[in-house]
Amino acid sequence: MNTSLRLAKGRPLRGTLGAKGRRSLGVGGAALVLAGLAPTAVAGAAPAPASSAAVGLPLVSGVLTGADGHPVAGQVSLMLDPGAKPVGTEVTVPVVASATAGADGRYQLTLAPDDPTVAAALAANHGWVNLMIVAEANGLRTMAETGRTSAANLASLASPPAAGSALPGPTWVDRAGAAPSVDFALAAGRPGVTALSPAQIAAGEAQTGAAAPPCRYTVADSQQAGTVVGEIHKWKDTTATFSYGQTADSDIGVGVNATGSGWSLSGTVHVSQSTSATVGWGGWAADGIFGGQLQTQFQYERRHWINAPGSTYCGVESIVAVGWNGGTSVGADVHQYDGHCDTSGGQDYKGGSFLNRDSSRAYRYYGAVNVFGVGLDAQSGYSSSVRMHWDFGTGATNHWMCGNDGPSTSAAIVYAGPNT
Amino acid sequence: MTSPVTSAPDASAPSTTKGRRRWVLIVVVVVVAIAVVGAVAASGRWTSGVGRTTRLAPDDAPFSYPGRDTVGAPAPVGVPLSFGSLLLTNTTDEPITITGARVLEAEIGVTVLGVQFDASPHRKASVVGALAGFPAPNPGSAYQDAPVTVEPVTALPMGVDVVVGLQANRPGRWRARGVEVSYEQGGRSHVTTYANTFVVCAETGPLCRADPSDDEPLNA
Repeated sequence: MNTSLRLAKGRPLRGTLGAKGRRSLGVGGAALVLAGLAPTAVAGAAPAPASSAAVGLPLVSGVLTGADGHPVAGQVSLMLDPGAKPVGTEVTVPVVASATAGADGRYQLTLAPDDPTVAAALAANHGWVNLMIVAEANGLRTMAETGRTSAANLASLASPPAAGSALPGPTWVDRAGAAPSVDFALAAGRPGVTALSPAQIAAGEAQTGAAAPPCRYTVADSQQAGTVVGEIHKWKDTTATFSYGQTADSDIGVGVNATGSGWSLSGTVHVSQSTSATVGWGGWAADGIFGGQLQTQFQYERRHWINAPGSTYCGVESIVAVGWNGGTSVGADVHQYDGHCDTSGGQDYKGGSFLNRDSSRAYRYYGAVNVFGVGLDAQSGYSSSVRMHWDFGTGATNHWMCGNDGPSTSAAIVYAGPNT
Repeated sequence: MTSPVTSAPDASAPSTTKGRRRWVLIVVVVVVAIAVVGAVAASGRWTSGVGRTTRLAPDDAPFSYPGRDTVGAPAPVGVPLSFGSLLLTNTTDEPITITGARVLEAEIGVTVLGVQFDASPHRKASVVGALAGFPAPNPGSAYQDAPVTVEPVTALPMGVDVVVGLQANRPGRWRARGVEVSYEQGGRSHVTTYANTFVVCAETGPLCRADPSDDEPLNA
């Protein structure tokens, strides 16, 4: 499930929510944009930019719809992922913003950038926060969706440009994602939508005119697993290196078992934790051919959600990446893609030259990690934390490189060879 | 002593105070103006008074920019090199006309031969990584000087290949860092600096290799 939401580069994106980027979400991924200040409820309000920092800027907004596709009134809550906790810990997920949708189904969430809970989460994850949304209407609710944003995005939103000056770049982490509009289709039987029983409604789990209650979970297990963060290819007469860190730079899918009937992916978390050193791969023989996926160790938690008897209000289980441990290993052999670069889209590097890529190109690996028996996706490369380098020898006159989606200088994956 | 002498300073005191306040106010306004101009310039969103050219950071520009590369190659003194590490894609809905480009921070041992472009919709993607010769020896492509129009992305090959021509004018390892591209779109002029680095190794041996200092931020 692709949870990346794309924004057109160079377009204004701050706060206002264009219909172009609107998407309806069942259990799929959601993108949030943080802005704003104190948690605020806007009953039935159309999304509108706030006038000052004291009021808050729009965080995320959208529309709740029912089974017939028409807007419905309901509640939406934004919860902050608490990050890593010891096994056995019972954790209450903090609600950092909530809103009520009126009859037109519209909701809008705002958030305080200086909220102590948010600030602590930003500090713990090198300037990034991971968030979940829960939407509820007519006795139905969706399981939590996840999204993420960074302190840099917050700063961009909090400092609008002067009139007539250039608009800032995309505020959403994907750098080329969609407008931050998250809609929820609350229809019985739709994946990820839970129908609450009359008993649950009577117990107060179905909220009417109030924010959803916080969810709680127990950290059932924690383990590390090799996760693909990139790949590198080299042809003969070439040496190559790949480095990652010292700040992690990966979005990793969240596995969710919403009702106890099976696992699905629900959004991503961004792991941006720092360690003491960059990790790197290299040392392959200069006269050999290599194409392989590269793995480093991330820490994952398996969470058991705590619900009222017979309820799956907060889901049943989830698997979430909570940190980066470092270490290196080589995963799948993908050298079969090499040896096809030529004048038709390839780039030629003369003998003795070098190429160093310090880039923000991201590539999504499906099934990048298998943890607790569940395969999750991952993508890396939003920052200069991911680098690739090639040194071309003098044994060949021409060293051909090419990309999966463009030239070697702009592609997410760079293939190599043959040389001439 | 007579009182008229002492009364004069009292009469003039208010106007002196006003004068001082006026000067203080002027100084404060000037200082604030300088601070604002400095902050705007530091933010990369400086709008010059000449032709209303706006400086846009790479992430704010209408071109996509995949990231910073450093490319280096060996070549004897006087032998031109073409470097093709920069591909800019127009991700907006309107054409962009590149009106010029210049290479920044060229060290004393390297001569900039020029910056050329190929935005032909029928071209193959650039074959230029780091090659001897300038203009680039690239059959099938049509490199030209500015101005060149870059159409919005509709199909591959996208965007415009930017090729930088350099040659060493003396032995040594020499760098040129940064390409400043000037362009117009919708009647507005912009300029964006891309921090790509190019290295020429002249008569330093058969291999040209990266140096950690290549990654230092541009001075500009």
